Order: sequence, then structure tokens, then C-alpha cells
Amino acid sequence: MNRMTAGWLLALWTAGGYGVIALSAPTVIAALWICPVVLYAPGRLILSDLRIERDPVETLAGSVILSLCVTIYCGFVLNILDSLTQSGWLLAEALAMLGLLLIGPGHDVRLGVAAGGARLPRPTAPVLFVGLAAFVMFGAAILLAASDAERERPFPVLQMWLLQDRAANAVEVGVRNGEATEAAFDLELRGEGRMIASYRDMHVAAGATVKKIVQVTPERSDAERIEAVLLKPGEPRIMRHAHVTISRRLENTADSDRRD
Amino acid sequence: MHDMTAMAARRESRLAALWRVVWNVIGRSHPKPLRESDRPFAWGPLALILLIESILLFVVAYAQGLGRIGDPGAARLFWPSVFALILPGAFWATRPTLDRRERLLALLLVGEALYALKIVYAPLGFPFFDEFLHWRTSLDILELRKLFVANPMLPVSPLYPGLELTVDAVAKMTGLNLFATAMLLVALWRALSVTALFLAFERVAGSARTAAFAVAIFMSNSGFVSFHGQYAYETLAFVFFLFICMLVLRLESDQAGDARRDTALALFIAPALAVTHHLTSYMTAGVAGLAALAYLLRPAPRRALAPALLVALAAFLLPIAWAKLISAPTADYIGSTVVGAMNDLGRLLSGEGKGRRLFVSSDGVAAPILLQVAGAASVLAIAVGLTFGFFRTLTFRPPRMAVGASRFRPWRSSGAAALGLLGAAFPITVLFRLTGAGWEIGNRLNPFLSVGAAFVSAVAITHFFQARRRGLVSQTLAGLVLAVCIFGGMVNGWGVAALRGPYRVEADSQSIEPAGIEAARWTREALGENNRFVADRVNNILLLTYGRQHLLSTLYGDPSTALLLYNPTFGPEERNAVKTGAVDYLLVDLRLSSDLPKLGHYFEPGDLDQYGAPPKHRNLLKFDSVAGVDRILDASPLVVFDLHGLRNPVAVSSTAIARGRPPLAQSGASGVATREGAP
Repeated sequence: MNRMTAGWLLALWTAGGYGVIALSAPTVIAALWICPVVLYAPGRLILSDLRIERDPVETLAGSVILSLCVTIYCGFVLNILDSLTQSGWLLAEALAMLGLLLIGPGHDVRLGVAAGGARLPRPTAPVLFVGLAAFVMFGAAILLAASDAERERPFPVLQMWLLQDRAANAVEVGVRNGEATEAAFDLELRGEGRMIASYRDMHVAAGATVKKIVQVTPERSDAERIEAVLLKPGEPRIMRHAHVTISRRLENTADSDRRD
Repeated sequence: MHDMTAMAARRESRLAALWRVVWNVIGRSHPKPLRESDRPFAWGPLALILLIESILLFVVAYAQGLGRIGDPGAARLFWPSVFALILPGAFWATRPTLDRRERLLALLLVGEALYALKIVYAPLGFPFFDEFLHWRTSLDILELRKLFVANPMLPVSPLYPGLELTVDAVAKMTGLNLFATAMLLVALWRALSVTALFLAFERVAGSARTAAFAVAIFMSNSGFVSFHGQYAYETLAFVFFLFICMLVLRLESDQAGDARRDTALALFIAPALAVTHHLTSYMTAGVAGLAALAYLLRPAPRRALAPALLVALAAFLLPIAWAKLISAPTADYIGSTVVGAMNDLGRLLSGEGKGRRLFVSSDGVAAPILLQVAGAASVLAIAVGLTFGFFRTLTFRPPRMAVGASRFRPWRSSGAAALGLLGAAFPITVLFRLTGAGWEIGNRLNPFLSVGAAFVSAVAITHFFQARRRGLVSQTLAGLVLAVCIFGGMVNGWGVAALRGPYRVEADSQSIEPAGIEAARWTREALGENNRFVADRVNNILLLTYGRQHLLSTLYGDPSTALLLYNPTFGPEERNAVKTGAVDYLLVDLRLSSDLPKLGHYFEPGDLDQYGAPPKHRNLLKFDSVAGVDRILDASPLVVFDLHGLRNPVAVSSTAIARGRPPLAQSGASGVATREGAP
């Protein structure tokens, strides 16, 4: 291929790459546009510049390995320029390829791998069918493994936290239900010998978080231990509990709800 | 006098006859070149192998699902399926007559199928300890957009960012998430490893069949399936290592111009290797140096000597220069491990020390006997291969190399000789694996030295065991032996942990589950990043990655913190550890008290030996009653304590404790709590 043509193709690829980034194209399209070029072309250009034309298998493997090296070197340059970004990478790869096109000797550039040897025969229809069946089976294996992994929950994911915000004289109590079904709880916020706030039969959807921000001051001393307790409605057993020690500086009470 | 002379002559002739027999067995190369490639390329068998592997992979996935729920039938389904997964590709790739590309593709199918085992093992996230360490470095580069951000659990990782840069480039440009990008790239690296190795062996042996045998035997190294299937810097560096080896080993058969170009390519890759993994770069220098020595000792042709030396020097000096440039603590990092391993090996050889119990995990559970047999058979097969192949490799003449042997030319192929010498060092890895401290060194050296051992064993097969017997029975037997070797190698490297099981304490991948992950995520959302945390081994890696926290580690100069969780009371010693380590938070995993750690320790190496038992439940929760400590997250069985109050007592008060009010009873994890009456 003429080097000028290769240059135009490179410009087209770079523009397409920016289009992919600007339009936030689907990952599959972005991967198909970017990967074959970034993981092959720089290395292939190096081989072409060095006039190394060998067996196709070696050319292919060598091109990919050299492209990985080019990517690593580009990464260091981008780090120096503080540009390890999406567009930074695209520009760096494009400039590296442009450089390889420009510094090479005058001969045409080769981008293919077929440098002699018998061509591979075309697969027949039954072979394609068997190959397709294999890929379907492979996909099914991955899906099965993923679904088993997703379902594996040896311990319940139920979090309750209690954090204090000293500046706002408030505490935040939160509950996250990481299970697959909605759950109901009673939530109590207790001071020393007093109930600060109580939320009965609080429903938390699957995967949802409920946060309560409560303003509170120590009543009888400079500091007070505040406890949050999560209970199953109608049952005495405490499911979760947390505590913080707050110090005086606080003004009492108004509370707000937040659901994420 | 005459009788004595006759006896001496008879003895000499008997010795000579014995030596001829021995030499015929261990040393003489098969004089005829191997018959190669008289069968055209066909897609059919490859498609069939792919289908068989896919079906078996589905069975493996099903078995993993059973393993997750603790079904005892999982093992009976899993291990035979893994063995059957290897067999067709190994058998087909090493048939006597086959197109070389078909051989290579069959090997690629075996290599990728073995990698797919890892995907099926952990399809949703990284499962291995080392992967988490590199994942943290990748996250830093991805999110902070700069290199060399400190990694608290593996400080050298950000200093060698080759791996992370390649993943960062693809992930950023395509928008793929980091895990998916890493999985795809590791699959690509696996393909490149197999291809580079095949090409190297093919060039040295002058035979695609010998190369196929060698690659298949190489797959039996203990790191092939699991360690080099990891998202870790050595995985990528090993690809560079193999490609440079290929370039160096073929220098002697290159034309002058080709030799210059190959040297240029090796020198282009060497810096990338140096910034990807230090040890692999040194190993590359070693192999290139060995090749240079072989070229030096063989008088003709000499043109390969200078390029090989140049590559060896580059591979040796570049990582040293890089380490100086970035002040990498590699000497400390590697030195202590090597010294410990050598001491342990010395004690073992002198009979003073006890060896490691083979096929027994840290918690004392032994592998099933059949797996033990496969693992031992794998190593034994290589030993047999080395015995029958070493001298054959030294006297080996590739078909295209016309120069005959003479007394001034100790070997005919310097590439083969270099591989032979490399293979001769293979038993060292086995010795190291017998020791406690050197086990990891043996494991890490194994893939590198297996390159030589695989070639020597392949020469033994093609030039001795299968030199004349090429029938179907012999082929099937060879395929079976290869499958046993690869299977045994997987057992030696990954062990019984390759099959999923229910949750276990401190078992890395077997301990990673949603409750731990969500707790780590919460720390990042609620507390921010890079707080100084104390936690156990598994929660450390979750906090490091999902939580983006800074973990204290004795490996890197932080004070020991195991006492915080082991000791029954919180006294001056514990308070001092918190202050010295500037500990912000403590993540307590209540499950630790329920079992021994599968991987030998809870918080830091040696803690179980020191304390002798799991930490007690009440000791883990003593912080509930320590003044100045807040219990800020209850995600039972995980609890997070805020220790800021211990470091800055002005901000807290101990009134609740001082007035004798007992701390609230235990949460749901212990099942002893009751509801307190509301006022």
C-alpha cells in the first residue's frame, strides 16, 4: 500500500475514533473500531519499516507484540504530558503510527500478513455449523457460570451505619438492603436513656438505601453515646447495631429523610 | 601377566558395550529427519475439538456451580471434564503428519480452553490475590490519569506499569470496563505466548511436530493455567520474554540481514519488558546470555554471538537503569524472598529442615489421591524426558542445518544446546517446591525453566520414544501422556482450589463474596479514599480495590496490628500500635473466629503460629467497649470501627462507659442480642 494512502486511512481512523468518543458509541462498536488497529497496526508498520516479511503467523504475532510495546511507550509520553485520557491515547497512537509511516523508507507499506505459504482453505458449511455450535456452547458455559456466581450469597448483604457530622451537629443513619427482595425494618436511634428517633416498619426495596439525617445534642453531659439499632418488625432480635460518641456543641433536632 | 592383560581388555570391552547401550538409550539422535506436513490443512478436526472443549467447559461451569453450594458430586464432574478438555487438542496437535498451522491452532485451542477455566471459575470479577494488587494500580491510572501513584500493598506495582498501560489504553479508548478489558487482553497474551513458543521451538528443532510436543509439554508447567492466566505483570512480561527468546535462539540460522533486524526487534521490546516486570527481564538476560555462551563455544558461525550478547546486556541493564531511575525497592523486595528460600533449601539438603508436605494445603487438607498421582506423574514425565532428551538435544541437528559435527564443534545447534542447558536447570524448581519458604520461588522459576525442559522432553519423544513407533496406539498414548502432564501441571499449580467451594476463612477467591465487597464499597462512599485501615488478608484486598483505602502492612514497614484483634483487652500496647500506625479505621470480620485460615494466616504471615488459634469472637468485638472507638458500620459479619478517637482523645468522651452502662448487646451475627425497651 502506498504510504500516502496509508496516511489517509490513518486520518480516517483517527477521525472515526474521535467520533466514537464524542458520540459515546456503544462499547462493541468502539472496541471493533479501536482494538484491531491499536493492537496490530503500529507493530505491523515497524515490521514493514524494517522490511521484515516472514511467515504470516510470525508477522501477526510480532505485530501484536510490537504494538503492545508502542502502547507502553505512548503511555509514558502521555504521563509526562499529563494526558492519560481517552482522547490522549487516541492521539498518541495515531501520532505513533504517523511517525512510523513517515520515518520508514520509501517503499510501499505492507499491512497484511499473507507473505507466502499456502492459503488456508475456506471452511465448509458443516464446519461453520460445528464452529457456531461451539461458540453457542461456550457462551452458554460463561452465562451459566456468571449466573451461578451472581446467585452465590453465602451471607446477607444488609448494612447499617451511623456517622456523625460534627460541623452540622448531626448524625446520619443509613440502611442498605443488598438482597434481592424488599425487606421491612424498625430503626431506632437511642441516646443514653432516651429515644432520639424511631422509624417503624420501614420498607427498603431490593438494592436500595435509606438514609436519615438527625440533628442531636448530648442531653446530660458533654458527650453522649448514640446508638442506632435495626430490628425486624415485631421481633426482639437486633439485626444490626452501630454507635458513635457525640460531644456537646450541638443544637437539637429536626430530621430529614433521603432515599437513594 | 598375560591373563591380567586379557582380563583388563575384557573388562574394557564390557564397559564399552555397556556405554554403547546406555548411549543408545540416552544419547543417540534419530538419524533420519522427521516426516513433516504431508497432510493438507483441514478445519474440520479443529471445529470438532472446539465443540468438544465448549461442551466440556459447560460441564465444568455446571460443576463449579455445584462446588459453590458444596455439593460433593462437583469434584467427580469437574476433574474428569478438565482432563477430557485437554486431551483432544493435545492429541491432535502432536500427530505425526499435520499442517503446521493446524498444529498451532490445536495448541491455541488447548491454551485458550485452559484460560477459559479461569473465566468460568470467576466470571464476574478478579479472583486471585495478585490480581487485586494490580487492579488497584490500574484503577489509579484509570481514574487519576497518572502513573506511579503509591500502591500500599504492592509498592513495586506502580513502578512497573507496562501491564496497566496496555489495559488502560484499551479500556479508555473502547469504554470497556477494566475487568472485561483485562480478561480479553490476558486471553490475547495467552495466544501470543503459545504462538511465540511454537515459532521458537519450530525454528530451533526444524520440525513443527517437535515444536507441538514441546509447547504441549510446556503447558504442563505449574504456572501455565493459573499464574500466567492472572492479571499480573508477569503475564504480559512472559510474552515479551518468549518473543525475545525466539528472536535470540534463531539468530544462528538467520541470514546476516535478518539477524540485524531480529536484534533490532529484540532491542525494541527489551525496554517495554524492563518497565513491565523486573524479574522477567533478568530471566530474559539469562536466556540470551546462555544462548550467547552457546554461540561463543561453537566456533562457527559467530555472527549470532554479538547480537545475543547485546540483547542479554540490554535485558540485564535496562531494568537496573529503570530501578535506579524510579528508585524501585526491588532489591529489598526480591532479596529477602530469595535469601529465605536459599536458607530453607540449604536446611532441606543438609537434612536439618523438614520439607513442605506436597499436595497438602496450608490448612492440612490433602488433595485426592488421583490428583496427587497426576501431579507427580507430570513432574516425573519431565524428569524422564530430561534423562532421555538431554544428550540428544546437545547432539541434535536440525534438518536444515547442514554443518556436520566435528571435535571442535561441541554441538551442532547452539539454540538447541542453550535450551538443553536451560532445561537441565529444571530440577532446581522441583527442589525449591519441596521447601516451605522457597515454594514460591520454585513456582515462579518453573515456567521459565520449563521452556528448556519442554524442548528437551520433546526431543526425547520425537527422537527416541516415537522415532519409529508412529501408529495410532503410540499416538494415542503420547496424547494421553501429554494430557496427564498438562492436567498434573494444573494440579501442581492451582491444586484443588481450582474447583469452587463454599465460603472458607482466608482462602482468597473462596472468601470473596458480596457482603465483603459491599462493605468495602461502603467505606469508599461513606469515608472517602485512602484512609488507613487495618483488616485481615482478604478484606485488605477488597478494601484496596473496591474501597480504594490504604492498608497497613508489616511487609512495608507498618507496625504489626494482629495484636489489635487477637488480644483480649485493649491496653497500652494496642493503643501504641494504633498511634504508631496512625490507624483510622478497623474492619473486623467476625467469620475469622469460626475456622483456621486456609492460606495460613489471618492478618500477617506468622500470626497463626504466634497465637496458635483463630482470634476469639469476643476479642474481635472488644472495641465495642473501648472509649473513643465508634462502631460506624454493622454489615454483619463485617463491622467497621472508627479509631480516630484513640488518636485524638479531645474529640471524644467516655461517659457512656464511665457511667457503667453496658454496651449494647451483640448484633445479629452472634444471635444473642435482644431488643431493648424503648423509653
